[in-house]
Amino acid sequence: MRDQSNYWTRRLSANRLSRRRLVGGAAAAGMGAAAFGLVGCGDDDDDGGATPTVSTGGTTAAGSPTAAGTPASAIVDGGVARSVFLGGSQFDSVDIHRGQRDEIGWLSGSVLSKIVRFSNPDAGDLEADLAEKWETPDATVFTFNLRKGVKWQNTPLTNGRELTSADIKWHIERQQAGKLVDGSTPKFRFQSDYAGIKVETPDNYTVKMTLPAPNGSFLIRQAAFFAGVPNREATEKFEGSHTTLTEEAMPGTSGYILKQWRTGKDIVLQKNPDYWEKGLPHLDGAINPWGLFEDPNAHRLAFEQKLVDVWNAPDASLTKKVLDDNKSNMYESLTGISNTVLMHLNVHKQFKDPRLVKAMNMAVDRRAMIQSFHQGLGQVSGVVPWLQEGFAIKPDDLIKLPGYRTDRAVEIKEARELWNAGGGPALGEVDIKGVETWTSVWPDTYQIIAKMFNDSLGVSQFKSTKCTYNDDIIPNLPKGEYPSWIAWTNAVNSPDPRRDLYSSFHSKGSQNWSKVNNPQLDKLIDDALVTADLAKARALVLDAQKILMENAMFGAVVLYNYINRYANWNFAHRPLKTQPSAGKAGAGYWNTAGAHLAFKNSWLDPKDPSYSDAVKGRKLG
Amino acid sequence: MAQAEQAAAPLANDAIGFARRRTFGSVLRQTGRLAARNKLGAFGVMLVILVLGVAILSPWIKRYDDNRQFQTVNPKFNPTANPLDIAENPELGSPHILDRWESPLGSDHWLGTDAYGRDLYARIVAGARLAVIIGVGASIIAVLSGTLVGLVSGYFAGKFDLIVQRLVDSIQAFPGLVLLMLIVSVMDQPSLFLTVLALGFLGFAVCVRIVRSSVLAVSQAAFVEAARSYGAGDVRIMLRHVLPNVLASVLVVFSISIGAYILAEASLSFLGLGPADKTTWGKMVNSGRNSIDLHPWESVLSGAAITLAVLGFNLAGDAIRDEIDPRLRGR
Repeated sequence: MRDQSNYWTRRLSANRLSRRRLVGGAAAAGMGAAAFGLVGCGDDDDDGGATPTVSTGGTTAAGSPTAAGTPASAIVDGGVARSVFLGGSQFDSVDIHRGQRDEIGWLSGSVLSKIVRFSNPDAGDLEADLAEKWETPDATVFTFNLRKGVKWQNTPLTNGRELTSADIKWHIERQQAGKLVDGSTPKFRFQSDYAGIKVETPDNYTVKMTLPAPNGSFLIRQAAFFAGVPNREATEKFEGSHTTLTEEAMPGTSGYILKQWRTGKDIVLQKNPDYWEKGLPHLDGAINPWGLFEDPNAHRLAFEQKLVDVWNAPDASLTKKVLDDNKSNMYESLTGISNTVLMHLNVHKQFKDPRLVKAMNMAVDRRAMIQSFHQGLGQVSGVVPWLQEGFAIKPDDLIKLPGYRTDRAVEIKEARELWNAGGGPALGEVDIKGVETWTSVWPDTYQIIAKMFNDSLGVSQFKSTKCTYNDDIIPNLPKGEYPSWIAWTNAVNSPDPRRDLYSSFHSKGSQNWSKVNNPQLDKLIDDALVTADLAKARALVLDAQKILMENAMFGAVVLYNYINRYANWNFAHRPLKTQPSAGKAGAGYWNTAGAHLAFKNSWLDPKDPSYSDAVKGRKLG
Repeated sequence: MAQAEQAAAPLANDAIGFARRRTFGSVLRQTGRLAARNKLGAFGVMLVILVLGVAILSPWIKRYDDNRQFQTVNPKFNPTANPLDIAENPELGSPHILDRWESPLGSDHWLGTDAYGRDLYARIVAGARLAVIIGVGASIIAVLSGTLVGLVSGYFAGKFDLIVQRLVDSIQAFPGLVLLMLIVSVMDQPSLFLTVLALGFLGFAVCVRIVRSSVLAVSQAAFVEAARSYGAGDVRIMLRHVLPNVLASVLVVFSISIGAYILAEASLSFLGLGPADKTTWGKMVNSGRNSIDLHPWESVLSGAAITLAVLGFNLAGDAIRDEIDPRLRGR
């Protein structure tokens, strides 16, 4: 067995964790990072936390970019990368504040800068982005000094103006108010994260944020998924047509600008010539072909013909076979991005009785699903997935909980008792839908899922049919009229689960679709958020998880997290945490919030034998 | 009047009812003669009997539930294994390992297993049932609705006929598969019933055309005029005199189109537009193609099943047409 201790565990055990590391560097899970032994530790400041501190960003100094594991001199600039956009191409909005689907979070990571960003998203280490440095004079005040000379992409809407503190103020206050220019109040995904924050802008380059209470995960939220700062003029112009894709809606400040973002067409990212971090990105641009993800065979063919640089099959053993057959030209990488598999039961309709939800939590056979769909490449997850190990329930404890026990006979017996006691048989037909982005990859899900529930509960009332996020789920979430579904989700969008727990399970959470209202749970989450003591925060999160697990996560049932096995052409260098070595796969990041790492560390090597004219001839169009 | 009608009505449907008055032995002899005369047709009928037999007996002969996932206990299972160790050795994380991609001719799995450890023989047998239900079901819908509309349209002719035929034209103007995909895509969930309905709709237009043209010919016949002169109403004439005389054409349409529906459903399922919760041959072909270079059996075997079923129904349909149409008999 590997050493399971991680960054935070080691620091906690040494009792040397400074408050600054928590507030300035945020909490971290780093499970994957720890095991790969590459956790970015930053400095080793062990002083106490009482003194106001100043953190300066940029563990990688601007102007001296280095791709992980590659000497800077070896990196070749230029070229166009091609890869399939993970999660398909089904965007639900061009407005990052309002988008519910993960796709816009992914794409915006390459285009929009954040206030701060992760230097290692798995460890939670932060570095400067728009904020050159930041101060935390006390636990409720954050003062950000913005980088000067950051220009918006030059479009008729922005005229290439400079990004100033007013942009940050608008970015925070718009989400806080959850209001559009026309006064309407649609759903803002992270609205609850910004409640009560007062934003002041003493000058064009200083933003002072005063929180209503200490918040141990506030800073990490600014670096996490969906934290990019959008352009005000463009966002407001397209408020009324936010579901129609257009590159004009997202002018950027980051390494790439969107050259094309239209439904049904390749997503084209072009190097931003005005990007503040000189020398980056290495690539001239990147193309994400539209929709190939939905057809695994087309994806494979595209990879074999070098129309895309990286590929993974729904059947991981097939990827392995292809890798084994092409050892001299390809390398393997393992990553876990966007891989939380979730069963969301509608507790407002069929699953009103909590016993039914608990029964379903035990009826679902997590390990069988990992075996069926991922050939064993995964591990069961509690409400806080193992990716966030610092906060997750320990595996030894998790396997004692209902739904996670290895004795399926016990699980099935108890599940049936609860199902019958809760009036399950009287529900009639129960449809646990498969979301199209998942079922297009694994079309047999419908049959496998229905049989699993019917067999586990000893009934024949379950079926599984398709649904889509855009049509069936997202518009119906606020109304509580969504279907019950199984699919993957990006539940992990930072190493710290506290904001996600708040958002999903706190009575004031903006993604609390099950309308959980448990005062004890609220207090635990609130207390966990405000504490600067990481050990205490972890204990509180564990207590909160006890309530959540006892209630089968109130219907938002996390099932497991799996690992993706990728085949990469050797010419394509990617943002890996560890590079592949003889007989060992390279390791990617588990977390999703590091798109800038892609343009820092992605480059194409024209000298590699696998490089071909097809790659050389790529044009941004 | 009834006597007059009876006298006017020809014994045109003897092709359908010829065996009714025969003994079993004479039927066998007749069948033997037919088989000898039309060997391909006989082969087709045998295939049809085989497919129908498998479909009807499916619950009893498929050996296993077609969705049962066969697995083997994994002694290496470690429920608390570190995911990174699992990444290197996926066996650690699973209490059972699926019996995936087993080769055909194994003792437990005659035709091997698929990517999910399911028995391919059981799935092909289950698929046969679906294919027959869909093929026959769609054919019945198409024939019933097409016959009704074609009968009325051809009998009354005039403006009504004109409107109906333009509608039929517009349906037939679309490429069949494209229209089918359109219909199924519009449906909320392409269940078995809706798939049958969509296929039936597609066949409806063809059936209307064929029935109408037969009705137009039969409507001019003397016995129809005779019935009309004796005061028979339109409904009575259509049902008692016209319909029996177009049934032969209907039978041919019915038998030949079953194969086409099976193929169309396989295409839909291959494209992911078929009934999602059922085992279908088209879905199996699609499922297997992900690993066709490593494990070709799923696609090859389900593809072969589609081929044989469609071939059987087509050959049998041709044979029926040949026997009914005196001009083709013996060719």
